[in-house]
Amino acid sequence: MGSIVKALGGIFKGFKKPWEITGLTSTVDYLEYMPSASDYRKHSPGSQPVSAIVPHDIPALVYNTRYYGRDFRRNNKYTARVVDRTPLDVDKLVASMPLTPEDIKFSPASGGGGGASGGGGGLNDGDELDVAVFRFTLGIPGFDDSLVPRVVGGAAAALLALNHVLGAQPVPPAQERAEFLCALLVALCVVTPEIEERLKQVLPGRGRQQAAEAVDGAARVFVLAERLPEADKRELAWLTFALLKNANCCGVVVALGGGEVVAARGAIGSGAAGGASGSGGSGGGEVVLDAAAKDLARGAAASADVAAVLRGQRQQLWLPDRAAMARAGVDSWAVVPRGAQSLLLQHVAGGGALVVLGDRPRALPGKDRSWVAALARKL
Amino acid sequence: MCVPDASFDFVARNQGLVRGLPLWGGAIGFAGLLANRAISGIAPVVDASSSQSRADVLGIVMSAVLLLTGLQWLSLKARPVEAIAQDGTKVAFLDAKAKLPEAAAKEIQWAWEALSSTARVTSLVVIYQGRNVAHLGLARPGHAAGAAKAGEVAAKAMASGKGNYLANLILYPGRLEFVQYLPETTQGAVVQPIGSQGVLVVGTDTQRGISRLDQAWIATIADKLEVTLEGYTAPQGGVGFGGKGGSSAKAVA
Repeated sequence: MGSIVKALGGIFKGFKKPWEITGLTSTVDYLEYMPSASDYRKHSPGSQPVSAIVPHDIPALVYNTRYYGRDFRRNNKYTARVVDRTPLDVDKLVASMPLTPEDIKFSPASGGGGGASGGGGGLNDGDELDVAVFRFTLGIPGFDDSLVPRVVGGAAAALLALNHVLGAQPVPPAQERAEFLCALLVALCVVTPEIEERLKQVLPGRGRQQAAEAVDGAARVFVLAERLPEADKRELAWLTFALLKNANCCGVVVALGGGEVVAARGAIGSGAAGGASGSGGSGGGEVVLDAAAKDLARGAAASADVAAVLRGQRQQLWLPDRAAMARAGVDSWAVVPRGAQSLLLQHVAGGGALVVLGDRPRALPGKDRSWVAALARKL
Repeated sequence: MCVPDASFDFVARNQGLVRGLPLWGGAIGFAGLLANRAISGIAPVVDASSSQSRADVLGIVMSAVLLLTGLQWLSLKARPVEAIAQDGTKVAFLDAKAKLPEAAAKEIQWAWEALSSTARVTSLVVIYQGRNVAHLGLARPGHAAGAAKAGEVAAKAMASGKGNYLANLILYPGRLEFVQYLPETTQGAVVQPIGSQGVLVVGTDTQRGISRLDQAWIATIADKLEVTLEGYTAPQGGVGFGGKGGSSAKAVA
């Protein structure tokens, strides 16, 4: 019997004895108590429809109970910080402020590209205020962008002529009118760079424009009359240097009263310079001064204006271009090189004159001329 | 002076007119070509089919170039700089007690006269070796001429050897040192060191009225003053015997 029960028991190996079934599922009524998943977990914890309002306080007022932030022995990546409690030194702060745009240290500046170039172009007032004005340049090396209208006008004129000749003959009146208008436009385009040049010359305070490397028919000299005392020589040297550095001139000749020329500096006509080039040795240097003196004397005799300046009736004689110089008879002077395009004759007290040569027409704007007058008063 | 040179040139005299020329030319070109098309009853089509439209295309290209040039020229207009009325008192102070060499005194006088006639300068102050040697032009009302001191900006200029132009003095916190001896309404100041021991302070009544050229001239003048004042020591004020300060009445044990 025992073995039969054991054997029978083996059959029911996987089955639980009924009285050992416990728990929720022991009665058949459990199904009534079994919630479905949507009952006990309507929303997942991460996506509850109502968010909790967690009360919190200002973090600075809540004591941080975590020790690891303050544990300086073990955790010396976080050292104690010292607050700089020195009172603010306004004077030092003010002194370290950048006072000019040059003082400001920028990160390495970006260069200008080929299509658009930043930075104020040559049209602004020198580089006084370096405002970033984007100016489109063609970027063709060696070709001045202000000549673009002239080139366009020229090309358009050629094409217009071609069109006129090859077009429908006889020319319809509409086309005639259009071509007349285009001819006017061509004229304006061609003249535009010249006008731009004049407008730029009129702009005040542009400072020294780049001096020409070599003036046609001139030699660089620096001669001071030997008989002058040292102080006077220094004075003249500074005066001529100041003019050459700051004004748009290429040569200066100073003559004191009595037709005596005491200084010549810069690009003086090679006719007068003769052998006195470069070092301006004592013998050779005087040649320049003598030539200049002769020129002044001749000029005073030849032209009433020059004589008036020398006498003092007229303070300044300004000859803005070669034509005016020819009218005044000045371009035949030996000290005036072929490449000089403008000349200013300034009266110096005592019957002297200050001759300033410019290598461009209208080289000296009004301000430069006032400075020449002021310098003459210094002498 | 930012007054354009209106003496010898047609362009200079009629600046406003000439400056607008390319803009007007471009606009009239465009309008004229379109009107021409309209009048002649040809449809305004821009292509190269007929000789008429080819001529029109060339005209339009030129008008565009003229318009662009005109727009570029708008930046060529000289900024008019107005002077703000100054409330300073005129002084012409050359420190007699400083015993300046004759040449230096004359040079400072000339510099003031030159600067005031060619640039918009209202005051010139020369401080050499801590002593206010000259003050010409306008001074702050109530300020005793001769008491100007070099401040931070001036000291920095002397140390670095480079001049400094404070174009719009109101914006700089360092203006206090200048306003002590220059009028309150000074709009700009140029600080140019004379060597390493002196400084030349030039005040103007215009904002940004001193151009690069004026600054170059001021620098040149300062260099000349440096040479002229070489070997000159300003007598230090205050102490009677030689300025060393130490009283000889101390008992030596």
